[in-house]
Amino acid sequence: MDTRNYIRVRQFCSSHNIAESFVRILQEYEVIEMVEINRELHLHEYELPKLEKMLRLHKELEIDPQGLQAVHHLLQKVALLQQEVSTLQRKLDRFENS
Amino acid sequence: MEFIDYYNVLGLDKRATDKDIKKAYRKLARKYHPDLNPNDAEAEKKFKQINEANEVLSDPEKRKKYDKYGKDWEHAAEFEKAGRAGQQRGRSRTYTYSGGPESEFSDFFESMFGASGFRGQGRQVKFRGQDFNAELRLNLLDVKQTHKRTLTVNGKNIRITIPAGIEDGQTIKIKGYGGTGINGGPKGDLFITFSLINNTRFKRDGANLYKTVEIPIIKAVLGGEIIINTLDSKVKLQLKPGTQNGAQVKLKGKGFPKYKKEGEFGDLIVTYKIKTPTELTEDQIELFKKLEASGLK
Repeated sequence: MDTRNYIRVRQFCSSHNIAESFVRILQEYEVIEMVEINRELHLHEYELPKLEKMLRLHKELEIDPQGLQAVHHLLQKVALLQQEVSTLQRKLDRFENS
Repeated sequence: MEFIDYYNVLGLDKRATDKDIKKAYRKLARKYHPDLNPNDAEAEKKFKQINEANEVLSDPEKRKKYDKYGKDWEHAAEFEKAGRAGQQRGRSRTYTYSGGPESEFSDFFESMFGASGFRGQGRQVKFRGQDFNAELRLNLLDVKQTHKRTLTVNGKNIRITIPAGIEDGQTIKIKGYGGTGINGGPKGDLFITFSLINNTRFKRDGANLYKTVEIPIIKAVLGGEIIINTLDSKVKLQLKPGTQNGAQVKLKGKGFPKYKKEGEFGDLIVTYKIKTPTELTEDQIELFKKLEASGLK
């Protein structure tokens, strides 16, 4: 497996000063995905912004993992809706300008 | 410059205790935190306001001063400035006026407490700026090669490298090009999502390309040579005699560039579609009849 785009969970936790259990709970709640490479848990680089965001919400707003799961779910919905609005807006612009 | 009612911003009255302030601040911070309100400039503005209100009301000295002068704050500012000038004689300048559209605090705050009045308290939480999201529409052929492009996001020009082989819907992060941090927090990031318009005759799946090519029935039966267009050239293909409709050939390395794998390409998968002739001459129809009579199935 190509490991160039993966980061060790242990390394992430140590640099952010958090317990590995926090990341494992988020995996359990299907907020993030991890893979096991050489018997060690790794995160794909695509997962980092999401995990960092969850970590900020946990530290700054004291949101617990259950709350983060709900937040994650709702943010996904918001992103989809925003994308839809932007697509519709573009279509509308084309329609109005034609 | 207008007076700001910080109690009103936090939904409190003047008798609010420290506990009430903390509680109200936490409640509103959860509502307007930039991470919870992507692409919402109003929420970001509101978040800055509640932070500013909290900065003043949760600091006993600032709150005292704010309560004392209230709506007469303009006189307070003059008085404080005069006082500071006296104290700072012979020292280097401490107070600066940051201002500008990205200032974290209002002019009112800076006038009353000084632009750097909020720093060095040690207890203040720094918040990262809001992440910005943008969509970039490109033609598929635009991402055949790695290239640089200048984008204008929120009035700033950003030169980005678009790697060859980027996918439709893929998002890349440009660190530090999001909203300004709050209370000295780091800037947010800019996320660019690519929307690719496929204006080619190829279907794309990752780095592999797919194409359907029509072949004449005679060549399908007898075999022969055909020339097909790949993404950027032409190739000659040998058809085996008895080629079936729907048969596929894989042209290795003739697909799309692989994302972030310099010099590596996917494959081009060609599907043959046998074209049945519809306009035959009398002679040709006769020949087909002879074939049928010969027992060909």
